[in-house]
Amino acid sequence: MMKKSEIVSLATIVLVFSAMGIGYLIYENETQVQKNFEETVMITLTIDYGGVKPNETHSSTFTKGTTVFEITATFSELKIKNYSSLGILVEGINGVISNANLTNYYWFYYVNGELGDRASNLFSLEKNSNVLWKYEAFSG
Amino acid sequence: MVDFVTHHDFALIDSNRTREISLLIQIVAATVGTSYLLIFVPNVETITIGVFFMGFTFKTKFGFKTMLTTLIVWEMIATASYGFSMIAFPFKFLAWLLFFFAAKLAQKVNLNGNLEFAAIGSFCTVLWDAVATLSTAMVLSKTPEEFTAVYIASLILGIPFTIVHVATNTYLFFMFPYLLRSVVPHLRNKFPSLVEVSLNDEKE
Repeated sequence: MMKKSEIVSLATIVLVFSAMGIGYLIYENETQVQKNFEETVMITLTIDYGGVKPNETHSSTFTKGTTVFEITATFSELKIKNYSSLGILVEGINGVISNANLTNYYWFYYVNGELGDRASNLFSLEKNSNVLWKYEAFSG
Repeated sequence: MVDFVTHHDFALIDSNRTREISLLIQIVAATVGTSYLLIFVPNVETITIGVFFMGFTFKTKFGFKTMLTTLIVWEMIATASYGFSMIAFPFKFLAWLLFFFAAKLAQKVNLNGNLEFAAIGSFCTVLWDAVATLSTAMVLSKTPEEFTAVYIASLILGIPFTIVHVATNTYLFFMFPYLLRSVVPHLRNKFPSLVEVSLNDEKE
């Protein structure tokens, strides 16, 4: 038979550890919110149709590492050509097609003002960025 | 003759003091040394159980001196490992003082059960963390208005560490009666004037 002081002590220990357990759940919840916040990036996507159609701008949060292609596909209908290991070439956005609506006009993308140096499905975004798709004359 | 007696008395007093200092050094070394072994395991330490032992076993004056020396030496050792925080030290000192008083209280009511000590250990460790975290909030909050919010956030973010601290201290305090039974009889034999606690086994 337990003494009264032992029962009180046991109750205290159970209470303290229960409080710790509840505390841990709060901690988990808080850090998950923080983690989710830290793992997302804010992306602004602008599509410049080169005067064929009015320009569009979209903003949203995405998981870090989302590619330019995935972000673009979220907001628009794409016509693509897959070059397997070289990546996916975007030939058309929302019905505006490379070298079709306007002669020698193609789709190029820019991330924070810099021309994309690889296929858009291979360009991952790790920080808040501005993505611009521009239908422009190919001068190369 | 008088000189001799005086000298003799002085020598005797000096001898008692030397013994007292020797005991103080041993207790400080045992407490700080065992804690230093665990310094890279976050929030696992033996300073708290050491402070409780000092408060529980020794007379108030000697226990307090030993605790103060332990905390100063420990801060010096800890400083060498992860830096000194001038703001944190007074709060940690206050928090350990809480354990010292809890030990004195436990000694007065002649506490001796494992569970009772474990309960004191777990409850006071939560308070220790709550008091010590005040310094974090003081450093991180820019205005007095945001102090409470920063303090609560610091408490929440420190919960995994608090759990480790509480769990290990609960275990150490649960084992406290075994520590007493193995150490106090020796202390009582060698330093009867410094030891205040009387164990139930000894009474019988």
